[in-house]
Amino acid sequence: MSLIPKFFGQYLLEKGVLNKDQLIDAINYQKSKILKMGEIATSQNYLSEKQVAKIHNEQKRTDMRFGDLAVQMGMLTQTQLEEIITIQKNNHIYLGEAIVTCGHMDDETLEKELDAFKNEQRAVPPIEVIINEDVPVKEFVEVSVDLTEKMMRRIGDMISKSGQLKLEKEGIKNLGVISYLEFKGDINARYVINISWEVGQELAKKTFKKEDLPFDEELIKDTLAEFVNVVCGNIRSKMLEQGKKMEFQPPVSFTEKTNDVLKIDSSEHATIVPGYTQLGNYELVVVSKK
Amino acid sequence: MSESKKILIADDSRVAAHLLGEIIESIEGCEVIDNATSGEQAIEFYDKYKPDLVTMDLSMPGIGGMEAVRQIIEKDPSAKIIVVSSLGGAQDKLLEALEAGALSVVSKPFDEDKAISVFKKLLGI
Repeated sequence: MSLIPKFFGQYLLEKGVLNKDQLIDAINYQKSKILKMGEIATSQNYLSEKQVAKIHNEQKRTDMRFGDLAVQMGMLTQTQLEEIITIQKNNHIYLGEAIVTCGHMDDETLEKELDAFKNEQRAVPPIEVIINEDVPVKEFVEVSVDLTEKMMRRIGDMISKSGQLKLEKEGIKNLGVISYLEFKGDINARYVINISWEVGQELAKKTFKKEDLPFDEELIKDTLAEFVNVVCGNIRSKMLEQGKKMEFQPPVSFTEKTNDVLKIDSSEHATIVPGYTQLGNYELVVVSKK
Repeated sequence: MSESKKILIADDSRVAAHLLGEIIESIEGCEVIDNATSGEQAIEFYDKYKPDLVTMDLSMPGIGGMEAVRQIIEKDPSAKIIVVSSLGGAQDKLLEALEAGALSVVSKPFDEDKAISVFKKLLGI
């Protein structure tokens, strides 16, 4: 059973059904079949060849995606861009199809592996969280809540439920240990998890698979940092699926003894999502710029 | 009796390194020789120990794991590197690591059986 998203190629690679050269070959074939945005835009008569070249030229300087840049330059409307994206999505070939076309698997094996993969990914449905439209970086908060609860279950064996969201303007009182990680890119936000010692100890026990694990503050701090690493890696992937590219640096952690409050800058919002487990409480906080 | 296989763990999280170490040492004939905690140290330890296999976390301080994969492969194209990823379904990063020379991937949080099978396969045991 898998609680985390995984792409089909990674599943096949880890299972040893496909080797890395075969996977790279299939992905490159799949990529070669993707219609380019410029091609679609010209075929729809939204852009001329000259305009496409101009956007490509501008791309070299700005590090923006073709579609976003075309809209910014006033050459495409948002509606036209959305239409182009839909055409692109509807015309792509699936990785499985690419693997078979490249001769790395037969149809029968592909069908069997796809069933097994879907079964693994389907094992746990997404956690439903109702988040108001006006919450800052709403889509990031949704994904963060979903993955934090899933990882609490997967790593800490704790069933957690999220409570009512609240906005905080001044600071987050440390419940025991805080670990945070800064995301930069299409969304700039800080993922923060604030846990009580009870939740931290349980997380450490389950991580190390030792029920008699002695209480060790440093170990709990490191365990939480690793927890944040895993959750945030998965958040990044989920956001990428939604077209948002983000990068991050290793997490920073501290205990209430060294820092009892995580300060919120006056230029920032902090959305707090309280979490409740059978052993204690925690808070998931998403900090973003106003 | 054949010599045991030397594995270098490159991970800045002592928790992840410990868990990975336990998995590796549960495989008969495998031993963890050291733990590098940055991309630079991974390269330095690779030169020092010439391990049979390296597990590389991508998100590490300094030059990071991805650049360390590139530099190790540049020096020794036969190096066996497994990417240890917490990047879930991130096809972009995985593909980049494979193209840089990594041979396979092990996902975090670890699934012991799957990880052991990946290690054994690459080490030929």
